Amino acid sequence: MTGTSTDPGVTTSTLNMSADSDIQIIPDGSGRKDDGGAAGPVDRLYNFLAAVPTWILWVLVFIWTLPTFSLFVNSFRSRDAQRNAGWWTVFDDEVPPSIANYEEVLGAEASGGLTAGLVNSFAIAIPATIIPIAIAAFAAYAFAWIDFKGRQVLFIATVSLLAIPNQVSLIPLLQTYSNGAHWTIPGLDKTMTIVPDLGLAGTTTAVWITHTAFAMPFAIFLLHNYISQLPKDLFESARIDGADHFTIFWRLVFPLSVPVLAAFAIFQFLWTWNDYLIALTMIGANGDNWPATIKIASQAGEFGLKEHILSAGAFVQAFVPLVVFFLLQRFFVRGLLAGSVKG
Amino acid sequence: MSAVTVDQLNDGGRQSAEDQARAAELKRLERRDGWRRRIPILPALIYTILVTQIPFLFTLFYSLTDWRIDTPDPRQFIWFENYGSLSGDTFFLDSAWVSVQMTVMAVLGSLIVGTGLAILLDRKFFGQGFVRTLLITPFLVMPVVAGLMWKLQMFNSTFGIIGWVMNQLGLEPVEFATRFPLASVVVVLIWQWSPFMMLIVLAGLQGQDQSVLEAARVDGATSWGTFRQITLPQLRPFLELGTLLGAIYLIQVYDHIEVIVGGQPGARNLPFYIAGRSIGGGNRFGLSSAYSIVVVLASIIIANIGLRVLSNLLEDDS
Repeated sequence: MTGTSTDPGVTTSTLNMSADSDIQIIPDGSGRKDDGGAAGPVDRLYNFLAAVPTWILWVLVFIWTLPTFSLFVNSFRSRDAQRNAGWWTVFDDEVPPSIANYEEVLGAEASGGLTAGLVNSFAIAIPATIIPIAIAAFAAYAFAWIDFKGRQVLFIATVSLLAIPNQVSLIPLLQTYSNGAHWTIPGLDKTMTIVPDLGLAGTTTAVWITHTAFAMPFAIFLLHNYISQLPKDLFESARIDGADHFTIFWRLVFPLSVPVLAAFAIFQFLWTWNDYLIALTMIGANGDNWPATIKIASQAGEFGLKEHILSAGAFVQAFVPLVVFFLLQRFFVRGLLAGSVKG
Repeated sequence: MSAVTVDQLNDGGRQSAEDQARAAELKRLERRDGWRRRIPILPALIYTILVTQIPFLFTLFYSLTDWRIDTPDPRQFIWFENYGSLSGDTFFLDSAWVSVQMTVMAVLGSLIVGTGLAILLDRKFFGQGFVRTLLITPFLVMPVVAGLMWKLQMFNSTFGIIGWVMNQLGLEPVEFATRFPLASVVVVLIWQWSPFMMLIVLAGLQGQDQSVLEAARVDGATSWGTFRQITLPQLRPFLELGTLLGAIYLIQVYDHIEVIVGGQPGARNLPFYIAGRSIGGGNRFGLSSAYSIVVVLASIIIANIGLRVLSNLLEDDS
């Protein structure tokens, strides 16, 4: 790459082009000239896609939405209707569609309806979203802008933990939460307590602590991408003016990083709100603390007894992430891209 | 990634006496304050190390023991026995292969579909916002529910719409989830992740420098020529980012597999297999920890080789 970046748009496009063919094609007036091997089926496919009338897009949208739509239709049908025929026969149903399923899902039941589950979901997802952001933003700033020994190694070690299948650490974690961690020193017959007994098994706290820990590598990775690309001059000026790292972080880095923080918040909120496995492992038998996901899955699992309210429950549960996403979506793409694609 | 190099080059170009004086002043400041200025950062670093590195060390320790939770026998140190038994475990190798196939197919599939949708969406038409919303929705659906609704309302031979369509066409409906377990899971993953790729690619398409496109059009470039030579190179970092973020999540897929195909061997990836050997009833935590360590090491090696190959390709290009 050359350093001629006075006009960023032009340079990036010319820089990345393959050297041999780009010079001839753009002035190619006829438009028919073959530009090497790639112009074949792919060429036709692209021209086809670019020329597709808008109504085809609507057809695609229809197909794309079909699974969700079928769930939506089913959420209004009675149990018998759902078990007798596919959702497209909705107008032939003996019992007409109604909101009975929604009433049942939201109504209070013996074990607490879905409403209680939604409250638990919030109790998990909100701390599990905010805490990693607060901590990871600070750590990402340290990794990006503070020189210390072993910075690179520690950063790589942290990010590579993304590859660990989380499932394997769940039971050891659960044991630590409930019984603490103790180690008997061999030969000395003496037991050391590394982590005290916290008695967290079956609580929502155990779930969000776990989410926080698992989210850390990805959070640091994503935020580091962004924060490391903030203009260097900014920090240098601030340092010379006598600001310490803490001030720089709160007054400069944090406000400038809002898009990427929002992008990560969406990812993490979706992930924790929709999580099933971690919550099931940590809360297990304690039905009072179940988040909405386990409530819904258990309703479906009761061998057809309440299977019919699954779809209604799913819609109620999906409402929250929809709202969160559409509130923050203008940050979402910008935050993901800003650090990784354009400096 | 390309932005970094450009920035650095810019800095090099603007290097002047003033900058050097500034750098010297900064170095002096850093040295004078030493650790005092770094203290506020320490809590975050220490916490990060605690929650990321310590569990890994625990896993490393467990992987050298024969720990299983269902027997009262005390945990015994068996050194590398767990690692030794790994090469003979064909189930492990099978699920590793499934993991590779599933991740590659789901990432590539959603990238291709997402790019197609983004090209289609990159125009002005009535109802644009509505269409975008409908297309994004699958990304927000809970994986367990997404799996269940595909299984029951799409793939199912009696209640599924695909079966119904096949019936109308005079074909015999098939139980997709049992006949093609891997493909079924991949289809659902593509359905959920294409919107994400679409968002990223669309941002790339709409962030293009319009004057360059205009110039190309005036010069008489074909639309495909413009796409391949101007749009695609500009889009590449966006595609790379989508691949990276998609792969990070898709390699950990669990819920979909659990709901759609259960434990069928054809669609059992590494997380699913390892969970089965540990929390899913296998209870062999020592062995599973060893498997996890191997997965982490393999991922680091593969990622390193991948990055090196990629950066070599990029250098050759410019």
